[in-house]
Amino acid sequence: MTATALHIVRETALRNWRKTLRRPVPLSFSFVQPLLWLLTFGFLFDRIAQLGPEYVGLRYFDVLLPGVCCMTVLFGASQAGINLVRDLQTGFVQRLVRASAHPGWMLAGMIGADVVRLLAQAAVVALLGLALGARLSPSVPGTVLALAGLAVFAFAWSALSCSIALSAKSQEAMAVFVHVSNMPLLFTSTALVPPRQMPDWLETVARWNPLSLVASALREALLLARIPDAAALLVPLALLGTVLFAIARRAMSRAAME
Amino acid sequence: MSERSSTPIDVAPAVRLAGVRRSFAGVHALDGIDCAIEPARLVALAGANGSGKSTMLRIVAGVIAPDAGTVDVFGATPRTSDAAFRTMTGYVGQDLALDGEITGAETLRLFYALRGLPHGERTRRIAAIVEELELGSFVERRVAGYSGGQRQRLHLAIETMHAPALLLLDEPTSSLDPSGRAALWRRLVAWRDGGHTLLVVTHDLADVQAHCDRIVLLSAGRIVADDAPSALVASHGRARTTIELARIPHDPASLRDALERAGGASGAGGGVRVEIHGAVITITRSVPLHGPEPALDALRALEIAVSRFEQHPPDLSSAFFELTGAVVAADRDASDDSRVAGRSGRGSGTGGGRGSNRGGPRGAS
Repeated sequence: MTATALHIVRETALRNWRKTLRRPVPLSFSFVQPLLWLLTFGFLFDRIAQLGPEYVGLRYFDVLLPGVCCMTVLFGASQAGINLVRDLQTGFVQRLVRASAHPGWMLAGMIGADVVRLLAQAAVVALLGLALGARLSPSVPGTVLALAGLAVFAFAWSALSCSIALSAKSQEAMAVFVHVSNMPLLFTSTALVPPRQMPDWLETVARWNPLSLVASALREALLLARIPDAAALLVPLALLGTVLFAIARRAMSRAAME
Repeated sequence: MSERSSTPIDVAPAVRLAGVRRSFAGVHALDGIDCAIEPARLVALAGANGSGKSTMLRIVAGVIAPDAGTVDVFGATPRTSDAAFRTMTGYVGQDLALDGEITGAETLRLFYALRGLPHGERTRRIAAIVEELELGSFVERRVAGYSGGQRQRLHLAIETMHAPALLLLDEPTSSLDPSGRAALWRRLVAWRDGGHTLLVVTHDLADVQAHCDRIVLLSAGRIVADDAPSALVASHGRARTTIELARIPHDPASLRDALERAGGASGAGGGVRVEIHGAVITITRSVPLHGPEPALDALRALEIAVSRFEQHPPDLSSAFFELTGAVVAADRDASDDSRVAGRSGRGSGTGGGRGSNRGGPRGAS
């Protein structure tokens, strides 16, 4: 990575963070949904959920917390393209791309800023869960590895969201994408329920769901003090992220032209 | 006048367009443009709204592609050789696309990084451009609170911070007050003197006449004139007399005939055309008048009171109307007789349909 690329990534990321911090209301609201899920699902199913032998001594609320952290990242990443649509509609993205020596690094800066913000949001959700009584037994290296997986997942899903935004260029299309992708991905993953408690067919589907990879890894690291399998976690996510970023990069270059 | 020689190009042109065509929804915005622009020249692109000048600029900027023809900018083709092309061009479009949520200084730092300029010189170079374009009083504020003129200056700073060899500007003075406009034209001239090539879409014909080396005049997607401003004034400019009557005449058609007879009989000036709009009479001549205005005598004889009287030498505005009006009149093909009511019927038959010069070129747009 050259010095020029570093400066591009830094300045585009700084722009995104500044905009986020200067709009505290949407940032605050982004914590409402995970909190509601924790409070409703967590306490509602706390007594009836069967967690299986590996989670002996833990409550459903504890098991749900890593899943809701991943859900926070999923929901936030899927909306990464919304700001891009706004910039496209004002012509600002086109200007950025036309000015940029390396549009790919600019996109990396934008998405990178989202990844850091989403991880911070996930951390705040985890702290809220702890405040509400969740019990965690974390492995530090395991948690670091799981967070790395979560970061790559956030990168990939943000890139997908940006691709949709750059292609469709409308808020309506983004709303459809968010609604159509988030709920199916969430409910067919292990974010809300451990895999062994799922019906067989759903467990099979969940195995191929990228959200399951990060939810299971984070649960292992935070609740069972284990270190997840790094290759099984990072390789598929990195492949997914590379493909989705390449698509977004291509869409970004085309965005400069009318 | 700062006009430079506009002799045929004997050096490699900065910009060359050959057979360029572009349509939007079946409407020809550009219809076979051939044009070459020498390096280190300040060139104006003028024409009425919809004449194709912004489309031409956007094609040179690589923002849109032509349907047919070729475009060459310092040997590079816009759109395909992007990296080199971006380095040597700056494009200030009409859309002042800026992010209102960040400050002007943050915007400049963002674009400085995007352009890949040396980081070690960032503070000095941004400070220099802030000073040059007088952004200091507002650059630390968020862009959302900027006036149109402030946005335009920030826009210009972004597109000139990398010192592009070719600067393309689409109506850069549209949001500026008179002093800002004068300052900008001074800067454009200074950049030209520094070796940069500038192509400016503008309606400021007085400024074009004062500062530009050359004007390319478009009408209905075609180039109708391409010369030094002084040459266009000499060949197509018309002297103009404006007379404001104390009251609106009862029979404008008879009055117009009487004034044309007076102008023709006096032998003063040549190619006389008279137009009457309300209480304002505009008399134009292809040859300037030397001596008293015969129309005043005719009005006095008809006992019509005059409240104001002005004479103007031939200028670029009159050449603009003469040249662009000719095409518009031909396109209309006398389909609406009411529109040609203002023509003298004795002159060349061109240009009368454009109306008086009261509004200047902006009025015509």
